[in-house]
Amino acid sequence: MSPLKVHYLGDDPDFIKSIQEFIQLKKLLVTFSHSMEDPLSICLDISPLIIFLDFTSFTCWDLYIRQTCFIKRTTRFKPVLFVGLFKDEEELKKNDFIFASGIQFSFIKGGENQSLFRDSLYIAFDEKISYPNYAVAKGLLQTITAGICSTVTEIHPGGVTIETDLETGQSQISIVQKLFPGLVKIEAINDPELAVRYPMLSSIESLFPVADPWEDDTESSILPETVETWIDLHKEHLIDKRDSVFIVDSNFSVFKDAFKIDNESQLHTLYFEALADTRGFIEKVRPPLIFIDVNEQDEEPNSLHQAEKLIELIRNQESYVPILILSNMATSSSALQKFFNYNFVICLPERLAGGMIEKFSDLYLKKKLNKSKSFTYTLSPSSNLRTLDVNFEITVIRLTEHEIIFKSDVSLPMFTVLHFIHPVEFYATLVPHFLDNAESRDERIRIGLIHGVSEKKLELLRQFVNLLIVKPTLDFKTDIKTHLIPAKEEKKDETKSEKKEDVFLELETPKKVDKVMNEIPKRKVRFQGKSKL
Amino acid sequence: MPKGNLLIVDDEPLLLKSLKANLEEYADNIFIAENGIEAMDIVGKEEIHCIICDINMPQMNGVEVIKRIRESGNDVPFIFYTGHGNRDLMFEAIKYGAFDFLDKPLFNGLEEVIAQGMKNGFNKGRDTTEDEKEIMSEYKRLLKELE
Repeated sequence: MSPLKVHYLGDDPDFIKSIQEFIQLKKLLVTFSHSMEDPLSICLDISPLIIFLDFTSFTCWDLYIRQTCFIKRTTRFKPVLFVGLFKDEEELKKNDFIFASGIQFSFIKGGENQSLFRDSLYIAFDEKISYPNYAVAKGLLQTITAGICSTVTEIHPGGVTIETDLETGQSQISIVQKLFPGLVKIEAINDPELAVRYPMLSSIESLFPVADPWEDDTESSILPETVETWIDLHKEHLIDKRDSVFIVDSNFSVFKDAFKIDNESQLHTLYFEALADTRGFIEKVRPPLIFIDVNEQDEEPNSLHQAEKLIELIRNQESYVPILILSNMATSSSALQKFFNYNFVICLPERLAGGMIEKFSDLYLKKKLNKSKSFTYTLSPSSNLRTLDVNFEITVIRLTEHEIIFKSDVSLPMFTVLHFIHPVEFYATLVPHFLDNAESRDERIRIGLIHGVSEKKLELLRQFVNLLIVKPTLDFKTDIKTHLIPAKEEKKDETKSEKKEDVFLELETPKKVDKVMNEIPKRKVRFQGKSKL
Repeated sequence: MPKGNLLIVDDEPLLLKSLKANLEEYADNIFIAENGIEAMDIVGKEEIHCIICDINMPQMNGVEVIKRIRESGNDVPFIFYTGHGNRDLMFEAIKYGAFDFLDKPLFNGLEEVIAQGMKNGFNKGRDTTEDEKEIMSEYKRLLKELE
């Protein structure tokens, strides 16, 4: 069995030391490396399954976020777990777009590193790492709101396109967005379709609820002029993206060049390892240019046979005629056009090269830009305005300081990141059940690993869990405020009496037991539905 | 200005004769072969700049001819004429780098395709920027057509 690869992108010697010690202590078959290379280079050169991105070590956040989005959109690098490390909670909160950018776990530095390593290894490798026994509040039946960390991808005067991890056919959701703070909710107008801009599962079209001409903007409606003014005011932060190009290349030889085009030009670039992966995306995106580095053998994923199937698919689309650029072809464009009976094919004798893609793309843009004016904008991947929560109700069954176990009828893919406000604000990444039991066989019962909380908040959560053990009926939304937070403040005030009324203060010492459990049984892939990794 | 040498391969002598007569202005010399063995023999002895070949011939078909010639390290442009139902052979010919296809018996665009093939074979290995220019001009043509 080859070692599992873990990479740290950062320059914190203490973090490096602690992860090395952890690997040694647990005798893990893990190859650890660290560097300050960019994520794209790390993926191509090292191909690790976990990358710790230490946001305290570099300043080029925007570039790295764009790269993680690009990387995680590909099938090859989809299983890579990106973990964001932050200085403090405030910084994470300010940059919560990371969870809609392919980063699926987070950590506030200064916290317990071992827990981070265990959780990361469990998410990425299904690795058997023994967890401590955490105090568990059981038998809860608390209904609270969970939000799927999602993103706005396009804004146009009539509405927005949202990408999220919601599966199709879902109901009872609400979308809480930040673009127009006064407008609380916007409604989805159709069933989710494939997500194309961000590494999410689906995209939802939604319309702004337009107010009647005699009404003002309200919580549930907006004036068309408000949207237009907003677009005008934010123009410098908006990106005018036109079309998409698809690049199909099993060797990933032009991956960096493709990112450059995606990052610097007005074209979106979608990279596919195999032609078969483009199905669905072709129908939805209808890219005007498709580059294919053709494999020589018929059984390979990007063979001429597969290209022929793609042309069949294209032919079945109404009013859609893309130009296909096939590289590594000994034949001429004319021969292939006749063979395919499709005139819009160009053959390149060489392997696919970045320079060539750029030339074709530039020429396309020159022709296209002269002709149309776009009214659709996208926001920068590192703009916090683009993040939103797609909310739904859940029933919490169990809670520890480490995980939340809840029941929900909403179907979500594994490794989705959820945002919780109650009992304290935290993020949770959905993972497979640790144990094979009745609970794990119920598709509606899910486990989320809690992250993105500071030590201070974790202590508060720990205390609340201890409270819940005694009083499982405590309300997540109100009781933490009415009991725990004022009590803590009171405790700080030394002039006040030491006598406390509530039972929870007696339980303030964490119930966490350091006794290490025996190995957690290896996770079986028993979850239904889709996975983000 | 030299135009280069053309080889026509077909098992029908009448068609060979007629094609030779029609294509004289496109080549300095036109060689003819009635089967693949003869064609290979000529290619071994003469400098051929383009081959026009029936894809469907008895004994050794056009794909077998291109395969053997490619195996000898010769990448001369091959133009095949094909009839209905030759799709599998066309697919194989593409893999060996067929330059173009013509429909039999109409031969639509014959002169244009031969001129291109001769030009390509005569300039082979001399100027790669020319190839790129041709590719880009074809791309511009397609973009324009899409407008």
